[in-house]
Order: sequence, then structure tokens, then C-alpha cells
Amino acid sequence: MSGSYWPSTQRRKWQFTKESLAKERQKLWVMECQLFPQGLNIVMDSKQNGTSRVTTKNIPITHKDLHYDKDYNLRIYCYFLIMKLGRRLNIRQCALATAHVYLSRFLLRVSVREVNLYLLVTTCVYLACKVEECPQYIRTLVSESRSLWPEFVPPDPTKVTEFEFYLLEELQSYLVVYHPYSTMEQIVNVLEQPPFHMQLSSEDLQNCWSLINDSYINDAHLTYPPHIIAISCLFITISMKAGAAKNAIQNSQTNMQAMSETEASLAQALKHQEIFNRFLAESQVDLEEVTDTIQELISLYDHWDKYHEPWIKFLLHTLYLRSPNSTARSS
Amino acid sequence: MASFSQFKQLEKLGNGTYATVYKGLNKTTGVYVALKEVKLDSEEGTPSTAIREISLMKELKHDNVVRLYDVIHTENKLTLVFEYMDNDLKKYMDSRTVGNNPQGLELNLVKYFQWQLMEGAAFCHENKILHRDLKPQNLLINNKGQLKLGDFGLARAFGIPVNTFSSEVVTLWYRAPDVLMGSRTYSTSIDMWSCGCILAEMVTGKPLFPGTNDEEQLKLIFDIMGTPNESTWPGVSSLPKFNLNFPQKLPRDLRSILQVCSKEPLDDNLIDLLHGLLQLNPDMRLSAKQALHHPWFAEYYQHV
Repeated sequence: MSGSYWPSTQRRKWQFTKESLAKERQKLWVMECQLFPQGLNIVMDSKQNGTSRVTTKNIPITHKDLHYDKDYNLRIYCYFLIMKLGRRLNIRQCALATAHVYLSRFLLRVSVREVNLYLLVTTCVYLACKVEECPQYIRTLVSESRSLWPEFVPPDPTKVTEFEFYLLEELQSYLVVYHPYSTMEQIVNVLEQPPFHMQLSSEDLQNCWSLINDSYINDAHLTYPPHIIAISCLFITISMKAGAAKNAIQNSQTNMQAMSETEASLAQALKHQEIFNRFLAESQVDLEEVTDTIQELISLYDHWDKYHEPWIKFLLHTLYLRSPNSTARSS
Repeated sequence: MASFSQFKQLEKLGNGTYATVYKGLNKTTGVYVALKEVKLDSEEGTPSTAIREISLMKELKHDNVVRLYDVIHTENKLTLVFEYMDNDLKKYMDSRTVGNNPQGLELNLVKYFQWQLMEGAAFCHENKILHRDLKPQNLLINNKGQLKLGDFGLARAFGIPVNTFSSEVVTLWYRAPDVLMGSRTYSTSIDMWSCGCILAEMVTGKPLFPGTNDEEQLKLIFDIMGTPNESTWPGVSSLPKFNLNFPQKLPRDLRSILQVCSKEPLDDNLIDLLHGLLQLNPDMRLSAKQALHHPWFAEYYQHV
């Protein structure tokens, strides 16, 4: 479904302003504080001087951990969960992207502490595959998902179909999602034509595609239309190339031939930047939205540098399997 | 969001592929609705067809597409709340049968219905959605003479991978010859063929090509429209089920075939539109947009 984003439910029902998104999150935050005032108790085994010590610590509910809006560790982890399951089953990126949007919409209304995140991921992928017309056999999906996360995913496939029901309800049955991938391709085609004559390499396109993949970790898909995200990712791709070429020149002072090659590539990268800026200026897209998306993507990579998978795994493990007052709904 | 208790379930309207449809009354507003109760599959959960219908219908809002008001989740079932329509085109035509003789509709009504059908199809196609199962049973009408496309259970959004379409869609009588011959690269033209068949049926009251199997269906089509060959339809012989031994038929005069079943004289524009929709070669078939600009509809578009 391309070309009809404007009248879509994505725009009419599931697109937030920064303010309205913050309001939604505030609601969830208040609810989480009421439902789980005890926070999360964690038990850590540590070895010091050859003796093992067990320490118990409490993570208060007001701490950012396990709040989807604030915890980038959790967000990045969700991204990998979807990716991993998708790779196993060879699912098209587009369906995985749809699954990711379902996940972020769902977690806007429901706390990670209320549901089994692994079951949620499995169900989002299952539903997205139905909607994107690459349906998966439920048994295959559940068995792959179980082989990845055996302690968390129940063997009974009806757990997924029950969850699907719940997911549909939280999504208010708005299921069609538009993605930046096709917009990106359209823009690239336009840029190849006169007056731009700008040819991006397949490596550039691959980079841009990966940036779009990463953008699902952010709130971009809850706040901006797909073309804004596509343009932002193209902008970053092109700027990075110019940046990389500049660095290469500074670093290569000896070899004359290599020098002239990098100079040529710098010249081309700068030209691309100039053309793309012209395109942007003429395109009449909301530049403020573009800038904001770019900034958020860049700060995502700062978060990514601090990504600590064992920690989030440990927290979820404690939450779902050890926590005595865990109310995680796995059924 | 509506809750189920808001509706009073009335008589059963019919059984669909994956659902049972009841008439319902919205107790708060007093408005009638159609309640489509989706049976959950014991294995796969909510059927893919239901998911597809829900996802597409939530996006489509047009006067000639039946409205999905709401989706209600109860304990173990899903109920789609649709706009209520008094009748469908099939039942309406059946009700006009005199004795054993089906009757065509008055031509000005045929034109009004066909115009709305084209409007609905054009809207779906603009939104990149193929209905794939257009037939009189799926065209809902009300007492105001409005016609709306319904039952999107087989519809799909057409994106890039056209070659993966299943060829097992569209009720036989309204199925396009390219699909019957195994083409899997069909597009909006598949719906346009169905629209042509429906137009002829409204004129005469009888289905134009009432085949009982694929082979007979093609035979009936060729009997009237002529057997295609490479010169009338380039590429036809490479379709999977093309057969060099198809009986060679010449196209017959559509007007004389239809005229015997109609009380009113059929004008040239109507016959020309039918020819446009019933082109064997899908590339030559009119699009919904083109059909809306056809001279037969001049009285409508000249007033807009």
C-alpha cells in the first residue's frame, strides 16, 4: 500500500505530536507507579576474594530501567529480538518493521511489567506477517521463537493467538503501516533524474536502509510521516560520506595516488551534499521535523554505545521468572 | 470504542467464508448495523482473511465502499460492525424475477448502479487495493439506491510482488480470462472484468458467463467474445493454461445477445462501455477511472 499515507489511519489515529506523546507516556508512567510501587528486587551473585556473595538490591519503579520510553537498553533489545526472530524465519524487512511499529504502539499503552515481552515480540511478528501477506505457520513461528527464548515462550501456540487478540485490541485494529523504505527509493529515483543527476552507490543505499531499520528504535514512527524519516536517513548517509572522505584526507599524507583518489571522492561527496541540500530546500518538507529526526537518530547511537545486553536480559529474567509478585501476563 | 452490549443482535443475514453476519441495532443511536462475527480458528487465531479485511476497511472511507464502524473484542470472538445495507444486488435482482424469467433492471438504474460501482472500484484502485471478488452478492444496496462494495475478505493491497498472487480467487462467473488461463500477474484489470460481467447481468437479469468449471468458463467467454490469439492478444499463448486446441470462435455481436433479454433499446454507448470492460486482453481493458469518463456516464460527470 503505497501512495495513500495521507488519508491513512497511521496519520489520523497513530501519529502523535511530541506533546501528545509525552502525555500518553505520562499516563502509562503513573499507571506503572501505581501498579508496581515495589519496583523490582534483583539478586546479584558476585565473587569477591574467592567467596561468593549474594546481594539484593531494589530498583525503584521511578528508575528509568524497564520503562520503554526512557530505557534505551530495553528499546535496542526489543529491536534485536524482532530482528533475530525475523532472520530465523527469513521474514521480509517490511513485515518486521510493521511488527516493530505494533510493538511500540502497544508499549505506549501497556507496561513491559504487565506482559511477557518475548511473547509480545512473537505475536507482533505473527500479526505483521498476516497483514503484510507473508503469513507464517503458527507452529513454525512458535517453535523458532521457543528455540531462541525457551524459558519465556510457552509451547502452546494458542498463547500467541490469545495474545494476538489482545494486541489487536490495543492497536484498535489499525493495522496498515507505511514505511520509509519505498519513499527512500522514490527519492533516490528522483535524484537520479535531471536536474539532479545524482547517483548514490549501492553501498550508500545499503547504509541508508540500515539507518531506516534503526529508526524504529526511536519514536520517529509515532511522530513523523515516513517521508521525513526517509529524507533524514538519506541526509545522514550523504553527510557521513563527506565526513568520512574528509577524515581520509587528513589521515593519508604519504601516498600521492591514494591522496588524489580520496580527494576525488571527497569532491563527489561534497557535490552530493550540495545537490541533496538543494533538493531539500526545494522539496517543501518540514525541515524542523527532519532536523529533529536526524538529531534523535544521532543520539540513538550515543545510547547504542552504552548498550548493555546482559543487564537488560538479567532484568527481564528477574522480572518474569524470579520476581514473586510478577504479574506478567503470559496467558 | 463500542462495546458489544451496545448492540442488540437481530436476525441472521448470511454466512460468509469466515464469518456469520447478523443484523444488529445500536441501542444508543437506534441505527441498524451489520454485525460480522468472526470465528476464531483453533489453530491460527484470527483468520488472515479477517485481518486483511479489517486492516483495509479501516483505511477505506468512501461513499461507495461499505463502512467498517468498529471492531469489538469480546471474550473469544471478534465482531466487525459494518454499516447496514438493506439488500445486495444479487437478492435484489432475484426478487424481480417473474415466474422463471429473470428480469433486467431499468437502464437508468443500471447506469446509476454501474456508476457507483465504478466510483467504488476507482477509489480502491487509487488506494492500491484490489477487491478480487466483485460479484452481485458483494455489492450492497440500500433503499436510497446507493450501492457499496462489500466483503473485502479476499481483497489485497497490491504492492510490488505481483507474481505471488494466488490464482484461486474471484468467483468463477466473474473471473477474468487471463486469470482463468493461469496468469498470476494480474492487477486492477481483474476487477474491471468482473464489473463488465456485472453490468451485462444487470441489463439482462442473467449472468453473462455462468460456467461450472474453469474450462467451461473459458468456453462460454470465447463463445461470445471470440477466441483470443497472438494477434488479438500478444502474449496470450504463453499463459500457463493456454491451449492451442481451444475451439476457434469469432466474436459475436454483444448487442443482439443482450437485447433479447432487455425491454429497453440498448444504446451504442452502453455496448461500447461493455466492450471496454470485457476486453480479453487485460492491458486493453478500461480502468475504473477511464470507465467513469465514458460517454455512457456523460449525464453524471457533466453535472459535477
